[in-house]
Amino acid sequence: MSVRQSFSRVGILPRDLKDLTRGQALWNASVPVVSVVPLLQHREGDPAACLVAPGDVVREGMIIGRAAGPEGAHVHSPVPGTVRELREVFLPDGRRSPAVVIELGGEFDRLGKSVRKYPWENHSQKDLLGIIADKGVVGMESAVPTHLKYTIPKNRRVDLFILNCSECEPYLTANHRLMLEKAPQIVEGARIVAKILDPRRILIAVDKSRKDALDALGQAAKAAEFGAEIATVGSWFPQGDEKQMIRTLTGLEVPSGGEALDVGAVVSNVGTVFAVYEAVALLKPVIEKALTVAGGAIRNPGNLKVRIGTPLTDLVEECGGFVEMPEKIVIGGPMTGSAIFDLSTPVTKNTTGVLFLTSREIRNSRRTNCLRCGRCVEACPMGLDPTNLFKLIDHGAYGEAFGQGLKDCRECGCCAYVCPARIPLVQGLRVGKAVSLERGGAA
Amino acid sequence: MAVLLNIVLAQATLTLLGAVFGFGLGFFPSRRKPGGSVRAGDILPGLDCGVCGYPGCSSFGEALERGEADPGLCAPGGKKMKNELAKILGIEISYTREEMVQVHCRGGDAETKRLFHYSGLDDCRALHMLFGGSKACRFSCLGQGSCIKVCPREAIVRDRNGVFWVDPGRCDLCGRCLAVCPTGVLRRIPKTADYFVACNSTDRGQTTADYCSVGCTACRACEKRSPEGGFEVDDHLARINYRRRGDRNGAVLACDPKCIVSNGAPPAMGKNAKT
Repeated sequence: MSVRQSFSRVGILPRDLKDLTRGQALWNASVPVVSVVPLLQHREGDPAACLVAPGDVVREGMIIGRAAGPEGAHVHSPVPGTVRELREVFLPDGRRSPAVVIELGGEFDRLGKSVRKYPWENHSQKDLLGIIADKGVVGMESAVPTHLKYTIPKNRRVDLFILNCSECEPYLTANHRLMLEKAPQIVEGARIVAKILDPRRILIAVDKSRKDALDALGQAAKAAEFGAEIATVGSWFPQGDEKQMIRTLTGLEVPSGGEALDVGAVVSNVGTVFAVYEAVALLKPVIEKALTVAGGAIRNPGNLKVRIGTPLTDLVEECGGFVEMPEKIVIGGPMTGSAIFDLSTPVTKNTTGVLFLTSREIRNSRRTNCLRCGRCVEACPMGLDPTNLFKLIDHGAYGEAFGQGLKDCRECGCCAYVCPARIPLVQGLRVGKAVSLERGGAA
Repeated sequence: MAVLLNIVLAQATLTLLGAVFGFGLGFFPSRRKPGGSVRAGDILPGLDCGVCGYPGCSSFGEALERGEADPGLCAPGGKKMKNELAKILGIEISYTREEMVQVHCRGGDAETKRLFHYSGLDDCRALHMLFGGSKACRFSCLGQGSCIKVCPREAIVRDRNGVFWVDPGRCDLCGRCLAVCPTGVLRRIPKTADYFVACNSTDRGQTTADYCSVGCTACRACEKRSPEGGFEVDDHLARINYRRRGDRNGAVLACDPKCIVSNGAPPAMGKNAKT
């Protein structure tokens, strides 16, 4: 086992606040009576084409939405039941999506049944990719369809596959629990990915503060005779970001505007690899998701396995209700997640956590003027100048901002986190990026 | 004593220098002689807004004198200025803009249903990226004032209720606000328009009524009461065909949500508005 030290030259060290849920084993949330399954559960492109109509009977794991374009992903029914209606819902990231409302009823095909493992070892890379696409696997944080990510162009070669077990956002511990409880399955998932990508090296990168997860994965890898190196990384934020991970482990910098594959690396989140295992070894589509429910306003915070499409009201009920009224409800981590306003918002494939935060936890305060203190510049893990970019965008100079590195912004939130004037820097940069991409990246 | 002498000497030198330069400046005539020939660059608005495509007013003026640019390109300069320009340059103006932009929404804080409280960046596009805005109506004016920021003529005003209105006397259709508005609530109407339908919602009438007390419910009362007024209800929203010049007052009185409003006057504050 090789041990590496990461360098905290950039980024931030937020309070990790994981003690609320760290010791809570994953438990299965009760199946929702009414689930609302959005058809847009991938990052770009159109929603999946709906294959059902109101009144149709669906079975657990049956396909209900077929990917509409090459960048799409299939959507499956998380529960058996009857389609009640089709309606539009708000997604946590601010988009709108058509959704299928399913009322629970009938017999489960998978829940409580023993499943035989599928002998995937004899399949070709192309077949494995096909299975992953069929089962609707997307990145469990990024929502990029996994089969697209693992389709390597002919002229490229993967040098390094990194299994990203960092989970650097505060509050979130679901992946940590997954590593402790499902280590052999995760290692098998990594073996499937390794077969598809055929990398020269495989690295499992674990946060150095998680010795237990490190040991569990190490033992599982040894038992499976899986030739992966295990590396430890620091617990700063955003260590778990793809580009930071590559730089910490290899010293290579992904070129500006480029992707991880440009330096021959593929990085996958532990949750995604677990989903790959379930898709390929158990032939189970993505209908469940491990996530953390935390925050000061919820009575029993914990780590849950939840059906996709479960409305948040069911999660609140599952976790004992509110201790006090939450001031803000955030889907995802506190750094990169987004605040939502509606408790009927459903869980999607890339929901990593739901936080019910009290006013003490969010510390609302007024925005003041920029003090020119430079803390955002110091904190930016991409080496950008957020305050300057923000000003350029405010004055409409999108092209100039784009040229000064706006396209490399990962929207990690470090700059806004450290800003003493509480300027919404990330929001500004996000708008600037959207507008300049709309205008073709220039002018 | 020597110190005092130094001070006096310095004062004397500076006074002398000041006098010399002052006389010099006074003696040589300034570039803009009153009564002399006026150059095109001198009567341009001087906003340096860049709508004409030139870096600023002086370079646009030079281009005008060389005969390369069209005076109609200057959006902030009004009709009067363009006529003056035509006189100086000795040409006919081929290009005038008789349209303006108006905000087709009067749903302020008091009138519309809200989905959530927003405290982020004061930019409409930023708000639009979050669930399409904090108002339940997704066609509405988001009220963050991105258009005010980009308007070179300060033609757009906002009242305390969060309702926006464009002053027809100032708007010259430079189109900058159209480019930053994410909901399309800014639309073009003729400058001479007496009334406009201050609603942008193509939701069904009942939905619009649920979201907003001043939204067009497509009841067609305007079509019936002012048949000559050019009212056309299309896609659940009344629009005015301004080629028809008939009476529109009947429709204004008949409109139940009172969303046919005067173009020339700023909005009256809603009756429930915070003061």
